[in-house]
Order: sequence, then C-alpha cells, then structure tokens
Amino acid sequence: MRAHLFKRARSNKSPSSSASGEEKESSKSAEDCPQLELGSTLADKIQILQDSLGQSSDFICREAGEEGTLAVAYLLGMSDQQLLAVLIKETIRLTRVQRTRSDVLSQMEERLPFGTVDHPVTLQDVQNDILKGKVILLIEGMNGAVSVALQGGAQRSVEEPTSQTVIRGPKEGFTESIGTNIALVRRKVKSLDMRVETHTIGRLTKTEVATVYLEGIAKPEIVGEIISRLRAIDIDSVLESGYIEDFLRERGYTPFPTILNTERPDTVAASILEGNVAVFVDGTPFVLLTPATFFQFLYSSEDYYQSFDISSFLRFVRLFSFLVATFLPSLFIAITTFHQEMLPTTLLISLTAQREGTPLPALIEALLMELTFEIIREAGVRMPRAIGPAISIVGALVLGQAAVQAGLVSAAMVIVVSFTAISNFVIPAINLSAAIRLLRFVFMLLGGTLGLFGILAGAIPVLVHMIALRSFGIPYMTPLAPFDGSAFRDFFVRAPWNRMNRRPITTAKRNPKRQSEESSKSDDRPS
Amino acid sequence: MKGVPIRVSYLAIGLFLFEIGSSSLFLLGAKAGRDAWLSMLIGAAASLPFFLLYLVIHRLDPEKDLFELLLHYFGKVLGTLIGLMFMGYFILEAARNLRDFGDLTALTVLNQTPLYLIMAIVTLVIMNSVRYGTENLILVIVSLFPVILFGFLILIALLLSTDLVKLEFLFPVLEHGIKPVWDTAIPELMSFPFCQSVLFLVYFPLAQPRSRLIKAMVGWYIGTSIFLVCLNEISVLVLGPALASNSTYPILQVVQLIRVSQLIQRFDALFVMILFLGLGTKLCLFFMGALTGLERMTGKSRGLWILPGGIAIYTAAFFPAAFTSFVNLGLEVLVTYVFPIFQLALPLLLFGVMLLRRKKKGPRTRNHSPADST
Amino acid sequence: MRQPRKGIVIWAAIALLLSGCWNRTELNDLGIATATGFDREERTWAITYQVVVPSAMSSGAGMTGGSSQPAVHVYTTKGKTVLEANNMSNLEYPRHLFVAHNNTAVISEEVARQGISQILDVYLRQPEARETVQLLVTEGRAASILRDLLPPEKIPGVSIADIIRQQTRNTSKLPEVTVHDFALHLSSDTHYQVMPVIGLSSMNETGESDNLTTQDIYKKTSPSSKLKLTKLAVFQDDRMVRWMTLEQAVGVAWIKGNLRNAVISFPTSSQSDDKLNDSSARIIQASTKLVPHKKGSGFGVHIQVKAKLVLTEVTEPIDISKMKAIREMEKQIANRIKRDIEQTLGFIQHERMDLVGFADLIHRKYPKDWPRIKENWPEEFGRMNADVQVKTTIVRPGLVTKSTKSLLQEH
Repeated sequence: MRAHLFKRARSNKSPSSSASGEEKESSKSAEDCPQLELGSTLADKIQILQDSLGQSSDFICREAGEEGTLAVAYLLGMSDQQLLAVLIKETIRLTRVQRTRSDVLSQMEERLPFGTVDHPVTLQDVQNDILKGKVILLIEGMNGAVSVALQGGAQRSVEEPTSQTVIRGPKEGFTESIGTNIALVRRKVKSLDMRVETHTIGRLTKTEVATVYLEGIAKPEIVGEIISRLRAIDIDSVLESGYIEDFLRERGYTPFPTILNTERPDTVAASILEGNVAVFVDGTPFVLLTPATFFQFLYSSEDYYQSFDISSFLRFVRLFSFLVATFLPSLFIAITTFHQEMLPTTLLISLTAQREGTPLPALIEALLMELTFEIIREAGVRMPRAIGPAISIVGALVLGQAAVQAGLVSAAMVIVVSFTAISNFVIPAINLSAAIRLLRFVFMLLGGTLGLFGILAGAIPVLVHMIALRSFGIPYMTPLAPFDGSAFRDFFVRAPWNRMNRRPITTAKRNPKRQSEESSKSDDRPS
Repeated sequence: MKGVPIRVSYLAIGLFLFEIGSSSLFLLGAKAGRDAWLSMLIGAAASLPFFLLYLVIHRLDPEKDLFELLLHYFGKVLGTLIGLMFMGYFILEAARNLRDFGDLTALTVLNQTPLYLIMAIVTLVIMNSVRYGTENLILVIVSLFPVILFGFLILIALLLSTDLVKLEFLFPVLEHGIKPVWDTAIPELMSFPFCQSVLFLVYFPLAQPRSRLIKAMVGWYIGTSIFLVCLNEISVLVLGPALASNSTYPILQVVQLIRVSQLIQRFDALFVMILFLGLGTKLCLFFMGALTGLERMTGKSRGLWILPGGIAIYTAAFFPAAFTSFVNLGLEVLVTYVFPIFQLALPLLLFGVMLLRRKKKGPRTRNHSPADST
Repeated sequence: MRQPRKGIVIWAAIALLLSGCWNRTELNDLGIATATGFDREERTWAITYQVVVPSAMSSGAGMTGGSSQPAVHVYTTKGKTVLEANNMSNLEYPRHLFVAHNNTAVISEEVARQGISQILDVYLRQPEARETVQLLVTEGRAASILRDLLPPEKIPGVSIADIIRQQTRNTSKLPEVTVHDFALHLSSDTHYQVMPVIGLSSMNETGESDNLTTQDIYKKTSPSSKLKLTKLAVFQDDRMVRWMTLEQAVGVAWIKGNLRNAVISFPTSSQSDDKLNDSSARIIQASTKLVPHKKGSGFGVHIQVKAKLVLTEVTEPIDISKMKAIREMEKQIANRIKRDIEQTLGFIQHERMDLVGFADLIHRKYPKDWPRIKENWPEEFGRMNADVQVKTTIVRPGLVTKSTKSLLQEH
C-alpha cells in the first residue's frame, strides 16, 4: 500500500491531469498513511517533492549555496521574499560552520530571529508545510527537512471596515489574514485568559479556523459545544466564514441569523469580554460571534462609545425601523384595502384620489414596487463601484417619479416602499435585514389577502418561532423572553458605563462582575 | 438544552391573560344591568374559595398535574375516564373560544370571508403555537402581555380623556335589590369566567419556585378580577346599561366612539387585534391542557396529538350553526349545568379522595394536609 | 408526522392565497359617502348619498381651482327599508358605497315626525357604519340639503359635521347629537331630547337665492343663500314633536353644564338700560351642579352654576381696576345667566318637555319613589320647583383696564 502510493506520487507528472476528484482521493489516502519517506539524497528529495506537487510552476525547488549541500523549496508568493534571502544566507553560513547536521538544526532553532523552525520528516508533513506557505530547506545529509514559517507575501493592510462603519470608535478593520486578525484583538484584550484554539477545516483548502474566548468568563459548555461542532465539520473547502456559520447554527430552518458577524476588532473584543466565543476564519475579514441573541443584531458597537442617552434613543430608532421595515408595506396594504375606516377622512380621500386610474390592485402594486426596489438595490451592489450608486439613484428616481406621473403606481405607495427601504438600511446587521426582506413579502401577501387578521396570523407564528429559537442553548429573544430584568441595563436603554457593572448572565455566568464594587459605587457618587 | 423554567410570575401573567381573554369581549353580568360590577365582584369572591381549592389540591401533591393526580388517586380506569372527560371539557372550551374568535372576526374585520376559512387559519396558527411545548407557549404569552396590557390601558386612558365615561350610570345602586345581582353572579359568572381557572391545575406544577406560588396566584387572581370588573363596567359607564347589554361586543362599540382629533378614530379594527391576542392565549392554554391530558393518558408524545386535537376543536366549533344559538348554548346551558361539574364537583371529589388517601397513609407521610395535623 | 403537517400548512397557504380577498376593496373601488339624507316617499325610504369624487379632489391644495367638477356627487335610491335602498345603489353607482366615513345624517322633518328608531338600528347594527355620525333635522327634504354646496369648503358633508364640532367647542349653544348620544338618551328615563336643524337661509335682502347645487357658486364671494344651523327639533322618544328656537334652548346648555368658551353679552351696570351698550365676556370654565330634593310629594332641584369668565368687551366708561366695578359686572352676568336658565326652564316646564334630564336625576336620587312617579312624569316635571343660583367670577380683565370709551371722555 505504502509503496504503491509512493510510486504514484512520483509518477504523477502531468499537473493538468490532476482532476479535483483524484486530488481529493489522493489527499484522503495520504492521511491514512502519514509516514511517507522523503528520500535520502538531496536530488532525490527535490525530485520527490517536485513530483508530489505535480511540477506546478509556482512551486520553487532549487539548490542554493555550494553544489549538492542545500536546496530551498517554497510556493511562489506565499512567503516573505526578503526574509527568505536572509534565511538562505544564514543557512549557508551555518552549514559551513557547523560540523554535524543536528547542530545546524539546533543552531537554526536558536539563532534565527524569525518564524518557527520545524523539522518535518515525512513527505506528508513537508507537503503540508509547503502548502501552508512555509519555506522548506533541504540539507544534504540531514534526515527529513527543515521548515521555517516565513509566510508573507501580498496582503491587504489593515483598513477601515467597509460594511460596518462608525463615526466614533476605532477605524481599523479585520483583513484576510487570520494572524493579523487575532493580533488585532490581542492588542485590545491584553489578558492572559484569552485563549486561541486553532483547527484546520477543509480537506482541500486546509483553512485555519480559530476559536477565541476568555477563559473564566465564557461558559465552558458553550465553548465545548462550539469546538465539537467545528470538529464535526467535514467539507472540502472553507472560503469564507459563511461556510462555517451554517454548520455552527442549531438544527431546523430559521430565516433569522443566530450568529453575528463583524469585521470590527473592537466588536469582537467587547463580545468575548461578555463571554461570547469568536470564530476566526482565515481568508475573510468577517469573524463570527456566538452565541447571539436577536436584540444584539440591532446594536452597533458605537452604542457603547457615544453617550448613553443618544445610544438608547438610537436603539429605539433601530427597533422602530425594524418594525417599519417588516410591517409597513403590509400594514399599508391591509389598511387601504381592508380597513379604510381607520384612516382619517381627509387622508382617505387624498389616497383615493391618488389611486384614481391606477390599473393594479394595491397588493400587486406593492409587490412590484418592492421587487423593483430589490432589483435596483442588487444592481447597485453588483455594479462596478464607480457607476453603481449613481445609476441606482437615477434608476430609482426615474422609475419612481415616472411611474407615478404615468399613473402606473400611486405616489403614496412609492413613499411607503422607499421609507421601508430606508428603514431596512438602519439595521446594523446585514444578515438580519436580509431576513426581514424575505419576511416582508410574506406579510405583504397575508396583509393583502386577509388584512390585519392575516398580518397577525403571520406575525404570531414568527414570534413563536423566534421565542423557540436557540443560539447555542441561549434563548434567541433573551432578555425579553425569558424575561431578565438584570439585562435591561444593556437592552433598549444602554445604561451609562458606571451602571453596567455586570456581564450578561446568560453567556458569562461564571464571572459576572464587570467592575469592582468600589468603582461602580464611587462613580455613583455625585461629584 | 432543556427549556427555560417557568417562573411563578409567568404563570400569573398567563392567568391574567387567560381570564381577560374572552371575557373582555362580552358584557358579563348583563342581566344585572348597571349593577354588573357588583355581580362581577360577587362572582369573583364566590369563586375565590374554589381557586384556593385548586391551589390546595396542587399543594397536597405539588409534583403532579391534574391528569397525573386523577390517574394516581382514582386509579387507572376511573382516572382515565375522568381525565378524558376533563380533556373533552378543555377541548370544548377551546372550541367555544375558537368560535368566539371566528364570530368576532366575521362580525368585524372580515365580514365577507367565510367562517370556516377564518377558523381554519386560527386553528393552524394555534396548532403551530403549541408545537414547541408548554414552556415556549407560556413565554410567548408573557411576551404578548405588554402589548395586550398596553392596548387596554390606552383604551382606558383615551376614554378618560374624552368625556365618554359617565359615572352617573352607576346610580342608583341595587335598585331592584340584591336578588337579580346575586342570581347573575351565581352560578353564571362563577363558571364563566372565574372558575375556568381549573385549567391551571395542569400548569401549576411547572412553576418555580413553588413556595411563592400560592401567594402570587391569589394576588394575581384578585388583581385580575378587579381589572375585569373595571373593564366590564367601563362598557356600562360609556354605553349605559341598556345599550351595553344590548350590544354583542360592547367593548368594540366603546372603542368605536373614541375620537381624539382626526387621527385617532375608528381604531376598533386595531383593538380587535388585541382582543384576538387575548382570545388566542386562552385558546392555546385550553388546547395545551387537553394535549397534556392526552399525553398523560395515552403515554404518547403530545406532538402526535396536535393534529387530531386541532381537528377536534375545529369540528366542535361548528356545532351550533347560528351565532345566536351559539351564544345561548354557550352562556346558558353549558355554563349553568355542564361546566360546574368540572369546575366545582370533580375538583371537590378529587380533593376529598386525596384527603382520604392521605389519611390512610397518615403515619408515613408527615403532616402535609390540614386533616392530619388536627 | 412531520411531513403531512408541512403539507397541510402549504396547502392551507395556497388555499388562503387563492381564495382570500373576500373583503378586499381597492381604494379606487370605494364610493366614500360623506353625508346621508333620509326621506320618505309614500311607503318607501328615499336615501340620498353624497359621495366624494376623488378625481375632483386630486388638485390638492387649491380650494376651488383646478377641476371643473364638483367634489361631491349626490344621488338618491329607494327601497322598502334603509338597507334595501342602500343595496339598490348598486344598480346605479359603479363603486362600493362606503359609509364608514359618513359624518352627517340629515333627516327630513317628515321622517323625524314618523320616528327614527329604524335609522338608529341600522347605525348600531352595521359594523361599518359609525355611531359618531352627526344627526341633523331639516325642514323639507333632506335630499335638497345634501345637494347644496357649502363654499368655500369642498365637501359639504364633512363641513357640516365640522361646523357642529366647531360650535360645540367654541360656543356649545347647540348640542352635538350623534347616533350614540341619541340612542343613549332613548335608553334613559328622559323622553325628550333635541337635535340641531339645518336649513337654507337667505342672506340677500331682495329675497332671491342662488342655486347652491352647481360649481358656479364657488365663483361668488357671498352667495345669497347658505346652509346654516338654524334652530332645534324636539324629539319625544324617537319622534319629533316640535321646533324650538336657539334662544329658547340656551338655558338647556347651562343646566346640562355643556357651555364652554361661549361669549355672553350683558348690560354693563344695572343703571344702564341702553341695549346698545351691552358688554361681553367669554366663559373659560363653567360647571353646573344639580341637587334634587324632595318637598312633600313633589320634587325640586337646586341648580348651582359656577362660571369663570374673561372680559372681552366693555362699553360703559367704568374703571375695571376697581373691585366694585368688577363685582357689579359679575352680578350682571349672573343675572343674565339666571334669566336665561329660568326663561328656558319656564318654557320647557310649561310644555312638559323634560329636555334637561331631571327624570334621571330623580331616579338616581330617589329610586324608591321613581316607580310611583314614572307614569305621570311630564306632569311631575311641570310641577317641579327649581331654584337657580349663579356664581360668576371675572378672572381677567383682558389686555386693558379701563374701557376705551372712558379714554375718550378723559381727553
């Protein structure tokens, strides 16, 4: 078995023929027998390595220094070129000075000022290290190889996050590199208790996924649950945290998001300080935060930086917008087609006047308008950035204005639809606003066929569902149902920081105190 | 992870919404005319001992719900029989509520939509609501509580700000003596709405902590009764005794009259939604009671019984064809002759048997019941 | 278990969407009735509806400009019952007649004299109709009132209701009578009540009157005739029995304690008999307390009126900064109010019409005696002894102290 595989790795010479199916198979069977020998002579080693990577043109494996003593192997663009030069120079020097090969290795481990130095022996390990972007040094006469972590190469620098902007607050956002991302959080939480556990998920992508939490604050059972769910994942690729999200959430369908995502290090820091667990995925700036309850999707990190009164007010505004975005079109349809007596007489007359001559029933009109809006919105997102916003605004104006003037839709409907759309943008979490965009259509159908009764008949199951929903065992509607009075200091009303002296009980049961008694007491004193 | 524990306060809120659920719709004690409030007070006071009886039954054996008690104390055969009767009673009450729901909808917001469709939708929504278990249902009810309470409080505030409430309708008190007032209260008002709380024998064992249960429940029972009396009397004070007792849904007629500037007028359609929530609460609680019974009696999971139960309620709701006969059957025959069996006779019997069984086992179980301590 | 349940939900949803919509009415299918008129023709009802023409309203802000079409359309349908007539409107009007926004119901004298309980029943029974509809009586046919426009307002039905509400807030001389109020009275011990009367009043000396039914009326600044609240109709139970003038009715509002914001004119001092020199004051707060008492076999009522006023006009040259002058004026106002009340009381007691609800008062205070006197209450009411006490306070003299006339005399 072993010999067969070895042969196969050697003979696999044409890179283009490696179809994905075959690749999967070979990598899987490679895991079965990890002790694959690398060969003994330098030339052998080079040959085996190059064959095992299928002669890929981005795989560099060439000799350096004196003939037949040293070879270096790495994937082009995945390691830091400047450091690589230093490394090679240093290694050549060491191989000259040191007598035995084990001395070389120990010297490298001690002297090299960068990167961890490993000593992989099997072909399997070497391959893995290469794929991770490490630099492999093959030294004549040494068993196995030396791998140095010099990952680097082109990377986006830390920039301002684009999807979650704040006026006041840190302006740095996560990048695509998991190391940078964890470091960004580390910089904020300088605690010995911060734990980082790394897993590799994805049979082909071998993506690094890290869980980050604070020992002593996070509930161990939640951490354990997350880790066990992560371990259970068996998938060929993880390209974004969205892949992981679906595996982490509870069983059963729900339109509501039960896991927060953010590209802001400060949000992650605040979240793990409250006992949540952050899941970092390499290759994406979006970090998952679990467990998440419904109301957290309506909070913005800025709530905690601004003064408490305005943040409390803004939270009410967001809740109101949430309700508007979910129910306004359906209520409008229900009232204008079923319960006209509820409108003041003058409003009814003016609405009726607007609708004179419009050909479509209110429900169809609203559905079409909403659909049009969704198209315009999608176009705005997908279009090249330079023309996107301009065209979408023009499209909306032209479509809206012209449609009203042509008598195709009533002006009131345009107002309702655009107000709904704007309310939808107020919700900080994109995944929640996506959920209610779908729900809105359901409610519109119900409101258009059965009036307020229909809306109620649709809203109650949604409420029942939301209350039954759990995020890692935490009820989704906490602290409303089950009611938790102590959590109300950080609910609709965000209490001043000197009053928020406890962490949320649901997630941070073990260590609920946020401030020492003295500090919260002394802050209470009038100055 | 297991569902969250039900706090005593949740159960108390459940009791509140349960009591005002359908009783807020009708004028209770209509026959007593302007003295309806006295009738209500008498009815509430007379029902209090029975409510206490339910609580004492629970206290004697706090681990078991109604059906477990029946099975335990009456034996398997008789217990199952009585349990099935109770279950039938809950189904019947649920069906009555469903019919109230349908009629209210058909008379107000959807007067051209067929009743069977409205009721089918309601049944589906209710079946979905009980699907997630008792804990979740009670959490849903608790989260609706602010909405309902807010609705009623707004109504009262608006009525007081417009001068629609005429206190002089209270007088003269007891013009025709106490007799008509008394006759209205007992047994009619006892069995609807006050003694319907017998259902809570199913839910009492869920509440935590037990030590606070009795005090909280009695407190809330009294509060709820007073709220009901006020709500009921408001219809009388706005519409006058004659118009109020002549009206099918007096509370809605009251709401129709409210007019504060141009904007707030005719929000009865909105208020119907609040009444829906109350009715739905009651309906769900009865349904859940029946489901619990089925689960205990058959030993099969209640999820299995949701569909048959829903169909049973839906069909039972159609028995009286016309609205008037429905009201007559509901308010006169059932309320006066049938329901007291379940609300008064059977609980008393259960209580007696429990005491007897306790006495027999006297030496082993230390003084739990008052009979033992003497 | 799971699958069939999901199937049911899906089927139910489809059935719901396909079969729903029974109650749906698009806004442009609505004919919004703003006023209804009730007439009798032989043995049939002739119901007149004033419906809004929305397309004529679309110009929005402009009062009369914009469209050449009147904002309302009026038509009459006939039937044996009110609702049959309503139903017949489907034969001639293409929209669903929507009466929930009906603000005014005008009843012809003929109908009123025959009894209006049938109309009340319709309003109380139908869920769509409002109980807050203003009831009005008119001499002649109700249909002709509905056809008249009320410049400069566009929708007469709404405007008539607004006039009544406006006057209730500002003078309250006429009671606002809604279907609910009327039904409430019917169910009480008081068998008499009043209802405002609307009529066409001619303002032109020559007596010629304009045709108010065409759009042209908006072109005049002062049409020669106008819709107005003119007097009161007195109802015994649900039947109208007689008319009553506004002057005769002023006391009723006082006794019922309904007066708010009304302006009272009064002779400034007891010496001045000059009718032209009346001063005036505006009521800012008034309350009436009625205390029934028993006197032998008969009954009496103490009427205690308390009013706070603000001076609005002073004609005599008196110095208001002096307490004595104020006291004098307060006394004059009190006398004036007392005279109004006594005048009205005398009239209604003479006519045996208990318009002021003394019956309910006695019933509440003396429930034991009530069954005895219930039968011949009108006579009992006529014999009742009422004494009136009025206490007035002038709380503010306005922006100036002395009267403008006294300024003239000083210089």
